[in-house]
Amino acid sequence: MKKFRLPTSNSVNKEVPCSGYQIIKAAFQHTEDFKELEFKRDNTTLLFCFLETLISEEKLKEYLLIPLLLEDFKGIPDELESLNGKKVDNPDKLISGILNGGNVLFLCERDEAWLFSFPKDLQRSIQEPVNEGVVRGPHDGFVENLDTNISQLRLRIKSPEFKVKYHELGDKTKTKTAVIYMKGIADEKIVKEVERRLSYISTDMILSPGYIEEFIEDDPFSLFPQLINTERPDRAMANLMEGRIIIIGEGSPTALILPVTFFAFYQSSDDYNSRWIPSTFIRMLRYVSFLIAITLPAFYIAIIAYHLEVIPHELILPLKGSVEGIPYPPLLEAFFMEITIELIREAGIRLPKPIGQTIGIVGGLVIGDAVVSAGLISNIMIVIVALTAISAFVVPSNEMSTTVRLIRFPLMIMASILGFVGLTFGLIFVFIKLCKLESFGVPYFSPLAPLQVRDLKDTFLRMPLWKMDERPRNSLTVNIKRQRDSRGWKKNEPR
Amino acid sequence: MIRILKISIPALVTTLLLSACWDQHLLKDVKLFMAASFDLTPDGKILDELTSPIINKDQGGGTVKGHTVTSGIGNTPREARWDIDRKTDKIFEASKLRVLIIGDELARKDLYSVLDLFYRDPKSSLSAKVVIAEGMAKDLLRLKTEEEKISSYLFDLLESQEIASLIPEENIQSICAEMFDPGEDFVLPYLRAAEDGKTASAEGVALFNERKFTGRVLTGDEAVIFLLLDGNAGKSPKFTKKIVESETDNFMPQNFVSFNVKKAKETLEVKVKRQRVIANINLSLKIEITYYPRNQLYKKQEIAKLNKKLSEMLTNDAVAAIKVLQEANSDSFGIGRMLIAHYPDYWKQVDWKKEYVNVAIIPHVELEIIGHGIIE
Repeated sequence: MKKFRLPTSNSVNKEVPCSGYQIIKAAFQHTEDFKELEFKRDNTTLLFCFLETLISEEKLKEYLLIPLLLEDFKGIPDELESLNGKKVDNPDKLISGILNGGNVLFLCERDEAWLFSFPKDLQRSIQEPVNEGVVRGPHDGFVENLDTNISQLRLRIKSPEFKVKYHELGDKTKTKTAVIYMKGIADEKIVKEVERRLSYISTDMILSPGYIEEFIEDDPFSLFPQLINTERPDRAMANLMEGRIIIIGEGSPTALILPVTFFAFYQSSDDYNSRWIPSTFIRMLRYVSFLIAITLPAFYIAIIAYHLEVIPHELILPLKGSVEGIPYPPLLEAFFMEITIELIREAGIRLPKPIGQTIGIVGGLVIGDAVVSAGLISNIMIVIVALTAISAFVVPSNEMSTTVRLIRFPLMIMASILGFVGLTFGLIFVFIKLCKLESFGVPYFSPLAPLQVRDLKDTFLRMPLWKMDERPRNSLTVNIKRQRDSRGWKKNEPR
Repeated sequence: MIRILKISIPALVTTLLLSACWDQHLLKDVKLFMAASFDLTPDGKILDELTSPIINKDQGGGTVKGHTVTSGIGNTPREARWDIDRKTDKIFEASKLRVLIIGDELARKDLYSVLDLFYRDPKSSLSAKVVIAEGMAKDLLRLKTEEEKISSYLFDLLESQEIASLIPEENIQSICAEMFDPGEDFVLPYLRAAEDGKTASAEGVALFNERKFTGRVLTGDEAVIFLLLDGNAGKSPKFTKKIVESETDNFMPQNFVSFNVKKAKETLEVKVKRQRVIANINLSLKIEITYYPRNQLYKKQEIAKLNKKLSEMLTNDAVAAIKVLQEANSDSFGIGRMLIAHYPDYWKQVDWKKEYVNVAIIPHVELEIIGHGIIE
């Protein structure tokens, strides 16, 4: 292949009589990465316009300039479709084409404009999501490129029923957003509803799926997240196959899953990678962790401040020795420690890893030990708070973990005002909210409220896969049957 | 949402202002009393003593070093408590009470007048064990035991003897119903402080008539067989019986057999025949031999002989126990209750407290050896 040098500067004849060119020129007036190249061949002026920061120069050279201008030049063909060009008349489309990494070729004498697309490959390699690691199972994750993400899903589901619908969100950012679902499994009504809600988004910028989430979720005032965020293609795929809908936006490795229930936040890909008995145990453990994380400090405060009678005899004296001489009421004591833990956590996130660990040690060990010997906090309280903190981080979903950490503060206040009565009232409020909430028409607390006995097989328990012949009803799937008899070989003798 | 806020914010604010709020009862501000005694003073007042552990605050939580005894006197138990409260440094807290000891002088007068204090207070510790002490109850609180806490010493002592079935397992709550039941009387453990003032020992079963201690105590095998007949026995009742009389040898253990009761099943049948109440108590025991130096258990007829012999001996014990019970006029088998249920007409016309002495209570103990340890 002959060498072809891209001209660095190229003065364009301002009076090129080309329709559409002036509009594009005006649109990209003050930006200096807008580039124009002019060539003359066969009495035809070829004018290339593109944004050099978006376009891949190698591809432009290799696929357009060299074939068109160099290789035994036989004149410009009438149709450029063989070079993946697209004839465009509308100047607005040309502008958006350039903004998406395209290159516009004006053939001035023929008064034609052709759009070619040579987007730059700007993406990091596929890695395991740091915040959603699994012990076993696939270790790939979504990246910031939408096409790569969709192809990761398509590689997993090789079915024509896999449907992708694009939407451009953000008046200025024009973020390409894909709504993905399985036709024939997902309920089209929910797809319509999602698209209806998306169509109302009129902000000028979509930073992340968090934006979309806030615009389309049912109850924005609720503490509970109503869409799941995931960076795992396998999790997204499993949800697609259960009849749920995925929303992925350009520029973010996070996919949104909807509609979801409360219990979906306590499922992890790991559950399906290991065998069903340990998975069931671990899943139960997570629900226990939910209860511990929201009630344990409140429970302890209620006991210490109101209900000494319920402390076992063997425990009362160590407990009493521990709280003797603590200057603050238990509520303040608990707040102090909870806030310390939150500070350590927040400080640890943004610091570089080696320093983050140091913070953990300094915070956890040094502060924990020093506050007890200084007589500020009782050591039982340290145990309670540490247990609570660990429990809150057991949740596989980061959003739900935040929620759980927040719910316990009002419960602690209630417990310190009214003891067990307050704690009970607080829990009643929480559960009323859980029962009342909906996510895209699905009751948030199903299959418990309303009770769906058949769906329980994949909520509290993780029943064997060959028992799960039906998809969960709480995804409102239109095709309930998943498999017939995957262990049929047990009944039939081999011939 | 705004509507909810409009309601909830004033609701929360008013809750904070209510007088009951912040009415906390912090563990660190209370003084825990773990054992209590009530006695009758010679001038008819009530003497209440309470022990509280002294807690050492150090790095690893609390350790106990000894205990303090606080006493108060009043016309009523409540007044005595107030007297103690005046002498206490922190907030008075008796909800963790483990052992309640009552002197026999006071128990002979009326037990309920003491317990009324506990039944009225929602915070009182209903699971505390109630015990009758020989002599003054306060002497038991002032034992110089090796243990740090007198309350746990007494509690553990009672618990171990409950398992051995020498004393009944009773607490403040469990005797309440029987105390008010005209057809049944309750029993309580009976403790005695040793002469040296260092230990206490469980003596047996103190018998009550209505609310009053009768002064009669079942001890030893009689207490155990009584609890078995009553269906109130602990996990492993133990007996040691002398089975051979005629030996002249000085070496005695040869003449004895010891056994544990593994399973007990008792049935109480009450009949009224010609205006006379007959109560049959059948007790069938499955026992395990734990000591038998004569060592002939591989012989079938030897086992049968032993079965018969021991059954007879235990029946005799039962007869003796029932005799004491009837003399004390304590209907702790609940025969009256059976009459109320099955013979209401008879019950209405009879003066049960007088008639009880004349009831024919016939015990029949059936015994079966099912185990003999790991050697035959």
